[in-house]
Amino acid sequence: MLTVITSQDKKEVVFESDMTIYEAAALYQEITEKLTFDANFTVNLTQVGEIDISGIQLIFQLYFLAQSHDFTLTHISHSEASSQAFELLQLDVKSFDQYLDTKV
Amino acid sequence: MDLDPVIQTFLIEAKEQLEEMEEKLLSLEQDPGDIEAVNAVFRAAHTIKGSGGMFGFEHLVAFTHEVESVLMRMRKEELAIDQLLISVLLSCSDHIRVLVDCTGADGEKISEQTAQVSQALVDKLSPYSAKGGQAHEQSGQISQQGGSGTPDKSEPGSEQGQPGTVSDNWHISLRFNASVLKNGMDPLSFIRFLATVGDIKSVHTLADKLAAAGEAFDPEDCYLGFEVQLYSRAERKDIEEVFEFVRDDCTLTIIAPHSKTEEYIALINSLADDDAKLGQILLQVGALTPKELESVLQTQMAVPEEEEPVKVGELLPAQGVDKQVVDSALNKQKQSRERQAKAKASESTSMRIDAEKLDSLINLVGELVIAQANSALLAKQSHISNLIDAMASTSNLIESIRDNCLKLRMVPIGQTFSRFQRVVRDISLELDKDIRLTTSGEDTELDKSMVEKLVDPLMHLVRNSMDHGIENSAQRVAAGKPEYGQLALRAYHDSGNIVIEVSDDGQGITKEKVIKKAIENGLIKSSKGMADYDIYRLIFEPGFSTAETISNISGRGVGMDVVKQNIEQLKGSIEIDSRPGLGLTMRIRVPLTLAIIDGFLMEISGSQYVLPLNSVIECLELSESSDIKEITNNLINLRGEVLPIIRLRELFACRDRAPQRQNIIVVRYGNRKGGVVIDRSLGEYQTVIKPLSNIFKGLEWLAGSTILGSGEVAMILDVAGLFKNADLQASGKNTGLY
Amino acid sequence: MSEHESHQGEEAVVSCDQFLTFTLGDDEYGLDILSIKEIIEYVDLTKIPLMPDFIRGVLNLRGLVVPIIDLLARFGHEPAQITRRSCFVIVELETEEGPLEVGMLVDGVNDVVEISGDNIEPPPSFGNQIRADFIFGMGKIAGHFIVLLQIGKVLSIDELSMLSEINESVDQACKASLSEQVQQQDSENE
Repeated sequence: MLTVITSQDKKEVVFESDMTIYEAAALYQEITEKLTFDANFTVNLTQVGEIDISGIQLIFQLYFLAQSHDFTLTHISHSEASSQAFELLQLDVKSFDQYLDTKV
Repeated sequence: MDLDPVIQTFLIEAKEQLEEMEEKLLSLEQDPGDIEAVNAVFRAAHTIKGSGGMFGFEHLVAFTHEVESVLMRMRKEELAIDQLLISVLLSCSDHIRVLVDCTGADGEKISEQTAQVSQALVDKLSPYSAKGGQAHEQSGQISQQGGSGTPDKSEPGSEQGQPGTVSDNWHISLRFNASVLKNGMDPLSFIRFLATVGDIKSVHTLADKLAAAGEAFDPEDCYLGFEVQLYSRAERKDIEEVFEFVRDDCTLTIIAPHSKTEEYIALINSLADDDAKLGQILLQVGALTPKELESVLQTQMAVPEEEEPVKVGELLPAQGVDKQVVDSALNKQKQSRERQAKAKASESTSMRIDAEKLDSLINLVGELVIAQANSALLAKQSHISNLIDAMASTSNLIESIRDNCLKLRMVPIGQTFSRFQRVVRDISLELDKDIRLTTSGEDTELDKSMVEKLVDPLMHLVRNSMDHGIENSAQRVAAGKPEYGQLALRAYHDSGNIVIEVSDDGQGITKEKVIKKAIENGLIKSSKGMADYDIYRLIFEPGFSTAETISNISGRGVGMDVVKQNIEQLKGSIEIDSRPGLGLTMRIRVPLTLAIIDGFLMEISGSQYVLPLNSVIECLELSESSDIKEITNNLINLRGEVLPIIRLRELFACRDRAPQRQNIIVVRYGNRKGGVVIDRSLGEYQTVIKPLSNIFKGLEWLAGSTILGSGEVAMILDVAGLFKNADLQASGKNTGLY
Repeated sequence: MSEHESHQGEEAVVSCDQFLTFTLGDDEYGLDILSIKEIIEYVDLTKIPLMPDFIRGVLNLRGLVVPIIDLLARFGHEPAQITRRSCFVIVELETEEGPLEVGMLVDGVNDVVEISGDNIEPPPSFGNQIRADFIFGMGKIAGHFIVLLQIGKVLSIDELSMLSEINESVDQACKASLSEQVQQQDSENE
């Protein structure tokens, strides 16, 4: 479950459920339905309970999709679970840019 | 790190998984085609294995892995599911529970005996598991191909007399198969696990495949790879073990510290990544120095062209597995994942709460109820109508809080009922009787603290029904009954109580048999003058059951008297409803909550007492009411109904004069009615039940005590107990009954 | 801290030398202070009907319902009369089900005295005012002896609950009230 909050100066994608393999397909469906990549946006993970690699991938995918439209993901706010996961993988949204190189 | 709370969580969750496992195995026995059930059992086993692995409970993990292999074959529909297989799996599930119980904060304590049982069960599983099977291990043999980092080559370079790289760290390269997530494994948890064997110095996430996927992105596939630098004093095998259970779904390369550059060349070669990118990563993480990297790349360029780096994505069909088969298998898994995701989305969210925290909350609410009653009393005395109204709304709110709080402790009895599926199945097999269990009212809720206490009595009743009640198939057919015996567990709410029935369609209990046995065992001399009700109650006397009827099934020395005691400790009662030849229903009635009572306050001789409100039918004035005609001192006619009455003044031996006008409260207990004569009725009163000292535990007419708003203590009376006591006195002779 | 062995062969744990002394009737008794939780002033008790004399009633101790035992009655004498000095000594007993609070009605508490092991003698084998198993020992202070109580026995939950169930008083009360009832009916019919 996710919600996209758009206001004048910002756009935020709020994830409201766990982000594991069980939710991955549904979440991605929602992403494609609810999110238009027409501005920079932030990602809110503060309500995320459990997160696994598929969840991390979704975040990556958001980033790549934004990039392909010439926008970017500027900030991620974390829940304890997502923060731990990101720390474990030593991922930081700022470092996502390094992944641009890999974009074909 | 204080492991204890974490271990507690592990234990609780493992037990939940095991319950799920057992439940689904049982349902699979009835419906072998249920793929979802197979998946559920697999997931449960897998989860236990995974968490066990995180704590290093190796024996548990190893055993569960064997079970999992068989379950894996079942998922792929390579095994016929029959009763024998299910029985073996049920035994394994039981054994996993034993192994879980052997775990603790200090690790596993596996006795010689337990280990032997493990081995015995593994042997039983072996006909079902694939031996040397290609089938269990799909693609993922890559580490044996492409020559990357095989154990023999990866000795620290220094040992071979040649200088290795300067890196102090192990380099671990992980490329997961796309299907790793669908197979139930999460790369993240393995990296977490890796962190327990050493210090993760760096992790590089490789997202090339993800970037390349674009529109074709499948959220359930895994596109990520990882390069990890780990500082660890562990040995290679320890690190390998971390990934033991995902080996089938990933390419794992482990390069020891100070390895030769060849290793890194091999790594770069074996992976389908952008070579320069990988090289950069290795440089960045300090696996290689710039000079080393240069030499690696140079060496690489010298690699002959025939040895093309093996592309991971192509390996699957390359192994000779038919692509169509693979696709359809993946499709099926995907569909099932979708179903699960839908199911999970509609599941209610729940939270685990510490029972102690809940209890202290309920205590506080109890104190609040008392304090509020006191305030309400003072408000009434003040005669300030605004204040009285305000107190009324406060009191409604507090009642709601109280009710909500009590609901927090309620759990559906279905959880308890489902345990019996297994019990009935096992005992049926043992007794060689075909007995089917149906349950209803699983949603009926009761206080959590009561649930455990009800299991033993219910177990005993179920066993009795199965052992003594239900006849064998020949007898049943002769009696015109279906061959299979029917056992039913039913639960429902009834005026503030929860009623649980254990019914069978067996031979029932006959009065004559009871009398005979009671006389045999010296409980009574003859049944003269005994009402039917009292005859049946004899089965609850200690000493009613003799050695011959206490079979292995029914348990040693646990008689119906203990069952009755257990129920009474819960302030409940048990009724016998027997139809000789047709069946028996044992009906247990237990109050819904032990903590707070809706009471009816009354006064006798200046002292206040409380009756449980759900026993009260109505309150009338004794002398004035035209509905009442006194027949004798202890019997009245209330609008045509004859009721026994108790005059509490008499019962309590009150010496002062009775008031001119007395009241009578019409009460119900069990399925009977009666009247209680009191001085004054003071109306409804909700309050907290305070347990009475054990000194009073034998007094059946006392249900507990409560503290009134004034701070005084008032006794809570048990209606059934009162009438029983009165019976004793009235009859004047001791029938030996309780 | 000295430890004494029970003279009746039962387990007794007294690991201190200090005893609270109190009066019951004409006699002085002592109880080791470790068992004592608190001493409270006399308050009216909630009586429980149909109980033997020695169960005086219950009181509300900060939300806990505590039964009060009349020691004099427990020792077989007439129930105690309430005087100015009457008070309750609340004792905490260790039972199978955990700690249990019970109170004793006494005629007045006196000092806490120290009696060392050598000054405690076994109870006399005859002539005791109270049951031998209630007595832990005879403590010698200032030239005279006081009875040191074996509180676990005096307030034995098992015994007390058993005695409560035997509703001896019920039969008597029954007869008494029946005759009263008859009298009442007679007067009403007049």
